[in-house]
Amino acid sequence: MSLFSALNTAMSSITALNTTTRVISDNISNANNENYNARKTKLNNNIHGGVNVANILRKVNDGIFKDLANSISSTESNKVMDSIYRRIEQLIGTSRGKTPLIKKMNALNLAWKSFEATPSSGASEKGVIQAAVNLTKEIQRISNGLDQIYGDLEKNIIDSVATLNKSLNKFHKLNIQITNNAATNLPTANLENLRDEQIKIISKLIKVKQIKNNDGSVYLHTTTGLSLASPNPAIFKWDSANKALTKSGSGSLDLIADNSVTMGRISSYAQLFRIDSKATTDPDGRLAPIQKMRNKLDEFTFILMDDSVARATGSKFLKPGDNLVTDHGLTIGDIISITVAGGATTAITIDATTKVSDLLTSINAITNISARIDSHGNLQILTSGENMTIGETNGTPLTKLGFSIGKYDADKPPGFSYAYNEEHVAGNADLRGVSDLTTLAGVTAGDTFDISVAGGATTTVTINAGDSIDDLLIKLNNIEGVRAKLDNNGFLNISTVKGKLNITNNTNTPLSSTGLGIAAVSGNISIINKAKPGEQNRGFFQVKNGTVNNNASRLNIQVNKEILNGKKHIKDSSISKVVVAMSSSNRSISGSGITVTNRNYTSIISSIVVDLTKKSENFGKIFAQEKAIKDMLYKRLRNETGVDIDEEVALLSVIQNSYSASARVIETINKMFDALSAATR
Amino acid sequence: MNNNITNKDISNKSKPQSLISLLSSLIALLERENKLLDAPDIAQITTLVEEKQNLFFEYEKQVAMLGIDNRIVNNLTNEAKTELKKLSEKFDKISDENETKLRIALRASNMVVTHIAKETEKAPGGSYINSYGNDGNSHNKRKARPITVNHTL
Repeated sequence: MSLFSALNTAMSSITALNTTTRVISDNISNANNENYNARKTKLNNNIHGGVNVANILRKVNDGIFKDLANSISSTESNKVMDSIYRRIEQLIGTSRGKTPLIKKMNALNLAWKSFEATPSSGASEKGVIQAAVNLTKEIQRISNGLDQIYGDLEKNIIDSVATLNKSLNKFHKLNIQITNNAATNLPTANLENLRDEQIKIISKLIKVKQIKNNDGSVYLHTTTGLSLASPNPAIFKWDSANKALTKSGSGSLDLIADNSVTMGRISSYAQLFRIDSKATTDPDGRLAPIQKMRNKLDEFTFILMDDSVARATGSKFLKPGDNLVTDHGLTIGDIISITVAGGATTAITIDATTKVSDLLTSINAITNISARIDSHGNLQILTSGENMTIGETNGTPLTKLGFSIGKYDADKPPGFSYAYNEEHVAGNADLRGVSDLTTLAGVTAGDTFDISVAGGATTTVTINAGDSIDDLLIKLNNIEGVRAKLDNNGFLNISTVKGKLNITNNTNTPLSSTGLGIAAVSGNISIINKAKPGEQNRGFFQVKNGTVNNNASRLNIQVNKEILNGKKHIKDSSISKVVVAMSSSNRSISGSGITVTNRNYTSIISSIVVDLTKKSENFGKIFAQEKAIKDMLYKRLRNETGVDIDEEVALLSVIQNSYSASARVIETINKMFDALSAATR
Repeated sequence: MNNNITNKDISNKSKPQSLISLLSSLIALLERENKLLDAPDIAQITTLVEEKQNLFFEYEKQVAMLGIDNRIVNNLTNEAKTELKKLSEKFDKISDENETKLRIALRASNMVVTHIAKETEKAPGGSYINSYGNDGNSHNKRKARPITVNHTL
């Protein structure tokens, strides 16, 4: 924050607070009555009133005790948040001013650049491999650390619930003793002090409301009115399996999600364990911070692994078992349409039983389209074709799932894994606007060529009379794993990232004709960027055995085993493209309370870390402030005589004046700096 | 430690220097207040706030002069600029701390005074006060407020 904006913020706060305090001061009886201002005694019963001042003081002290209890709940709640964020910061390294994750991502970037400069250097290649290993190890170290914190927190909440139950029991017993003593005119002061101590302990754990009854007992309840000790002490339970807090006598399956238990340590701990959609999508740092951090790491890992061409992501939190109609408001008969690179459109109809997992299956069945639930719980549709268009033929199913309807174009430049994996053939003839391919030199109707990817089935492509270049592109983009486009010069480019590309003329030689202009050596079509013998053709990063790439996460990413074991080398032809991919600022992640768009990989990691640091600072600040208020209230109550009314009002007035003076000097300083900055401009 | 800096003190120094003195004394004052606000004491705070008000009055005059005479800021040496930049950063930090501490003290005081106001309002008044209306007749309809606040403190 700049100096000037900081000052402006302070001034706004001062103005707002002045108004509040003035209203309260004006409400004090006779505060402005000069007849009473000259009195020398500190506090007087009004000579005409004969009111019992001690009674007022007692009630004021009771009121402040309630404030203190609330303040304790708030302080403890923020203390927990502060301590958790501190631990996460320690893990990430920001508290030491070091962030190994950013450093290692940056090191990987630099290692690739160095490798680009000296591609034949074995040391440079090793540098890349080591940097990549370091990055994956760091991701896993953080992941393990988060699991450790998570486990500790679970222990803390179990302990806290046990303390709460014990304290409610003690409170209940003291209440009975006080009532009995009061009924028989025995002293209750000591017992009341002991009860106050229990209320303070309980307030540390959950926020409570207290009502003093005429018989001397205190009715204790939650902020939503759940009785805590009447007629019997409540028994709370932490359900570890479902991460839910329950209470005897209450039908609630989770008092935290219901907001029946707020503030205090238990609430803060429990908020951390929430995995519901609200908690994991809300930017509020109190909710599920560890799960959100895991999600962000998972999604970062995925974007390193992602070799798709383009993708669309919804914003609705989904679970595979959810019914799309009953759980997410889609309508029976809604139709989703998906088109790859202007080809045929596939329609998916939603019926009464369609689950999220069914929708995934239907989308995954479309050629060159895949779908996944991303780390943030959102549906993501990806294409390997040149582009895709998602639409709604009936109803608004995709809109309801949080998608923007329309065309999604290819990444420019492509991402890391795409850059590594891609191999292609390229023409040298400008085919823009060609409406009939058979008019091109060397191309005749009925010509065919064969294409296969990763050793899979061969597809024969036929050039028919009247086929335009667009028709050919559609045919090619309709082959699984194949992407076809005209490049910036209008030259035909057929590529894949799914494995070895094999493309050959079949009937005649249309590909290597002058018309299409694809280079061939001794009649064989030249594949560009293909792996040389001994090189790993795809998957610099890979997921561990048994996992599909779309489920890449912080837990399963690794450097390709073949490369790591020295059996294969890094594909030389990919180096420059990977370097471009790593430094290009067109990567994005969105979800788990953070949206980062158009950044490079390092910058995305930095944004995740900065977001964490900001939240941590914020909780640190809130905790410090709440604690200061709690301490001030505690000091007033610790005094045997309790609150001194005259001094309190006078103090408020003086502090208010100080605030005004600060506002004035800040304004003055502002003017001075304005003059200075004008002069030095 | 006496941090009172008068207009005369400032005027006796070179003008860029007085600008630096001005900022330094402001920082010193806010530092003192920040310390006091950790455990607000009515007597000490009152004295400090009076000092604060007086000092700021002097500052305003200085700043007004700066606005009139551009040469002061135009002729700042690099050294003075560096010094001012350093002090500005310190001021930024301390004023932020001061604002936070005042806000905390106000919040706590507000909570206490709100209870006092509420209980005072709720407390039953005593007997009726004899008084005279503008018709010269005696009235005894005004009921005494239960307690009063001593503003001489």
